[in-house]
Amino acid sequence: MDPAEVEFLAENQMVSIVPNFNFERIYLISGDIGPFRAGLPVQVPIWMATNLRQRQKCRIIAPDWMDTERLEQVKEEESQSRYFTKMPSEHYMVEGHMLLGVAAEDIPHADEIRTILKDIWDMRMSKLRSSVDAFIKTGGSHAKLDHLTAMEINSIRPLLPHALDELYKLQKVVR
Amino acid sequence: MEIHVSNVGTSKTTVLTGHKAPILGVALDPKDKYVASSSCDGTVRVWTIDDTQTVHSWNCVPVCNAFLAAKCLGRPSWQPKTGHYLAVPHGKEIRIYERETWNKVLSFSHDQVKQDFSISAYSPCGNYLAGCTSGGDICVWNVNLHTCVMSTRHDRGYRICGLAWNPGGNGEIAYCDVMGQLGTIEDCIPSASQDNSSVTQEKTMTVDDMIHLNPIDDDDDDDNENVISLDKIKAELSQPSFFGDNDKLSHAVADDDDDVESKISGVARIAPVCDLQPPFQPSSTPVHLQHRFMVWNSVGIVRCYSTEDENSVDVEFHDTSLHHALHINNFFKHTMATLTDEVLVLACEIQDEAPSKVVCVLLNSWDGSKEWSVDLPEGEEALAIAAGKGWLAVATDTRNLRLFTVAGTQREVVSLPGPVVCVAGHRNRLLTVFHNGMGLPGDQSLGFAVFSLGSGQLQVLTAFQPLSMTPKSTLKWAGFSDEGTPFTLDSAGIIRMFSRKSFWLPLCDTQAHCKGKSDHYFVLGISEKCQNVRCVLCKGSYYPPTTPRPAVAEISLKLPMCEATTEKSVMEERFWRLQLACSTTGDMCKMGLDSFNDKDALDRSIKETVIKLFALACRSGFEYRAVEICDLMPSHHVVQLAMKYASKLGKMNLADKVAEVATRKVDEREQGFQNDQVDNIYTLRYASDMESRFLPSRSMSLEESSSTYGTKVNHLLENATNASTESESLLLAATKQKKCEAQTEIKPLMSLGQKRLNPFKKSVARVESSRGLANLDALYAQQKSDKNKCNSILEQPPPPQKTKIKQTTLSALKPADSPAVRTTAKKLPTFFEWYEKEKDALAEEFPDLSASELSRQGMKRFKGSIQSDTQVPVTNSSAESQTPVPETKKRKSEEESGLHEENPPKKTITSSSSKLMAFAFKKS
Repeated sequence: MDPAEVEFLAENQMVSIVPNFNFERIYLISGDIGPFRAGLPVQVPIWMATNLRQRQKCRIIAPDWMDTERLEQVKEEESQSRYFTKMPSEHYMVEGHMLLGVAAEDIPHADEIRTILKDIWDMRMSKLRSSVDAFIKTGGSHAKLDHLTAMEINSIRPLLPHALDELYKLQKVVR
Repeated sequence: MEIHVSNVGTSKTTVLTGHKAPILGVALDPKDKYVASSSCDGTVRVWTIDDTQTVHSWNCVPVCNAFLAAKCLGRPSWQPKTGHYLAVPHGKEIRIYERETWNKVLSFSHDQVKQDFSISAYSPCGNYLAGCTSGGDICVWNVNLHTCVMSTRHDRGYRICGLAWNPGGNGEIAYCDVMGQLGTIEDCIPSASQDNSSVTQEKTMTVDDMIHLNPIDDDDDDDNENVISLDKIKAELSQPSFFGDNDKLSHAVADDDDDVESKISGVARIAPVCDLQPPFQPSSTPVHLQHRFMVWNSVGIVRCYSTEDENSVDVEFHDTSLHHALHINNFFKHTMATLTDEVLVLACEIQDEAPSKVVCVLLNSWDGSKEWSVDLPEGEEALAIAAGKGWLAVATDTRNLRLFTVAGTQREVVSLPGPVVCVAGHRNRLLTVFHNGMGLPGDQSLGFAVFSLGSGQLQVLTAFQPLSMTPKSTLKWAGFSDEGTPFTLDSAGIIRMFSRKSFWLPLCDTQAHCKGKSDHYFVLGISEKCQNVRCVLCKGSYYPPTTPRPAVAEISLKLPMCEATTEKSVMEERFWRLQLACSTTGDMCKMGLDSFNDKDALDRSIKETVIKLFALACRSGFEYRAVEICDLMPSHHVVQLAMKYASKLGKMNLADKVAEVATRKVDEREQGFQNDQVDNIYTLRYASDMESRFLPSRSMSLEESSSTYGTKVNHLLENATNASTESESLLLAATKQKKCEAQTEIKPLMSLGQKRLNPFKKSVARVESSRGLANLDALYAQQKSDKNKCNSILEQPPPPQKTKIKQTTLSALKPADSPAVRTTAKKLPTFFEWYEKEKDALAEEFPDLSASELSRQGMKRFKGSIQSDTQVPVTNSSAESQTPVPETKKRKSEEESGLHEENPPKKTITSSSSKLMAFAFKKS
């Protein structure tokens, strides 16, 4: 999957918004949404939230985890642990990117959050790279990684299986 | 756990270690030899500073694990100057220990003190000892006379965590409680002041000597009793009969005691002034804040920024389609605001010479003038404001409640019985809360009244009554739910609802939803339909900050049932809560503000719950209870269901009993829904009000309003009396309607329809006259939702869609004479039945006629065949008019007959009589 596809999947995550209009419940294939009551929070998918936000029809409420303290804690854990830790959201990077991109002013400390998210991402990517490196070097046949998010898996997926294939071919030739 | 004793001069620090738990209090010996300390480990110790050793230790403090958890601090106190005695709180008394020997010499207690003493404090002069308890009591004793000089109680009963005498020796005590409040008590020493103090001084020696001489006091344990007996003796001595006693000492004591007592009683006579809570605006944050919410309700948010360089008011609407956001410069320094979908009202207090002013910003005016303002009379100050549909109210410090229309016309001025606390508005209701005199100690006494401001007439819906509150609480919020029911929130976090049956009931404990003790919910609004409270969680405070923008939370309403977690209680709670919701929704439906789908859904869930309750009772073997539950069931269908369930379980005995209930229910239902009569007082009250109001209102020129009055009276009479007297009410309504007609000859069509109490027509009237709607919703007309479902069907206007269709076709057919047409339409089936039968015969008879001519011919025949019927002329004329479109007629007749089937037989009788009546009237 390319990043756009992952993003598409992530857009189905729910987020709270405060609409500034009143509207009936809408019935979608994926489930019912609403009713929208002006001034009162309602859960909608991110794709709808971003769309409404772009039209100035709502205010996005940051998810629980999108909070500097909480993220600092996650970052701390991530840096302490050798393994991958569980992220507060399956699509933390995409969600963060989308919500901060469209509604930075709705989310308190948006810039800090962005920085921390980037830090966490970098940390995890470097961990991933180093573990791939170790995996290939030891010549192991399988490896297990927990708590990888979709985006992270897909960042390594185009390369790793292909590289392993190549390696396998080479090994076969050598033998 | 260390105690550091620092010498201020040499800055040398001695560390005392030994306590095994956090230290609760220390007291330094005035002679700098000892330190007394209390600790969570349960001990009070005396240390020597020089060799840092524990000299003596008492186990007298309740053991706990942390300072925060300690209820009783056990804080000791040295006698000032000499340090001769050490006072240590010990259970329900304070014990005095002698220096060096650490023997108990005395103990002080008070009869009314039920909690343990927590802190002791010697007065600077050393003659008095103050003690306070974990329950907020503060007592002062005269050490020398062993008498209690004063005892008081914290007016909220909060735990006291600090106590200090005024070093000036004027008998003032300062204390602070665990809620962070600091208070002082003056004149703790009975102004035994100068003249007395010399006596006391003298006696210090004698009493002290006496203590020393008294051998009993040197004992350790059982002296407690002895002290009491000593006190008793003294009390006896102090009785007047002993005044003649020659014993000098006792006489002196008695005399002194008497003196003290009289002074105490003098103090006590000054009744405790309970602090009346100041007026407030519901859903606003305190005025002293720089950034504050002036109001946050279901329409929008009004914020006020009053910094030094800026003073402005920001208005934001939740629904931006209602109005764009406003930014107003706050020149007048407004402190109060209220917002509805029509107006923004701002009011300011009196500010140096400038009178109190009310400014009203119109949100949807069409004449160009966006706002108006009015100055209150000199010296009168606005304290609270509220607005509703078409009106606004200002409560002032002269206890006036001034009413205005939204466009600025002055209306009634009402005198409130007490200082206002808050006012709230919703549509045409106004809730006022005011102080209603002195409450019980610690309590406020608040009263409230609900007004109705419909159609230019102000009237009280509920008499001025006391407001129910949690003990020792203040009002934090008051207002209406979205459905128009009055609600309050007090500082204990309890949300109460003023039910349709005119009593208050607790409906939610917001504090139970809070995680922390100091967290509170700031209520914005309540929805009975969704059964929840819209509020903002304020961590560690009562009020939310403006930035960052607080998130709205919705917490569900919940009746405070016993054993709330058990399955039974959960269902019972749900059942009664739904009953409440159902009665509210029922009213809303009648006013046309809510759809019947909601009510049906509620009805269904009530039935579901009650069946579950029944099943639970069956399963747990409480058959008596199960039968009882059957009585609660809304209809006999549910009871029959319950019966089936019981027989399926094999409980035949139970099933029989349930069957009895079922038959009783059916009987009751047939007997004509007598529960209408025990309906709430609103209906009856209001009905009578309406009747009396109706007559004067004849002079009103608005034909619309008068015709809606007619409808209303109809409606009310229907409610107040019951189905059996319906025809009477119809007559009444008809005559009333006639009066209206006499006044206003416009729109005979509509009034005709109303007079006949045609359900279709009624709903049309509602739709057409929005003013009538506003009137109607003032009715607290209500019925028990259960049992009389059938009756409600009678009164319910059918779904508006259907009506509309019919109306259009009818008017298309014959707009001028639609009532008559309708009558015919209802009678038509007879003709059609006849026509269907005879059609073939007719066709044979007149083979050359077209279909329409054939039907006309048929009509003639039909006319002849039902000559005796009184309705003939009507049938005739209208039938002829309708013949060109037999198709529509046919369809309509089918519809009509379908409707007839829906209606119970009683309805048909009344409707036919009303039809007759309509006809008679038309002729006249």
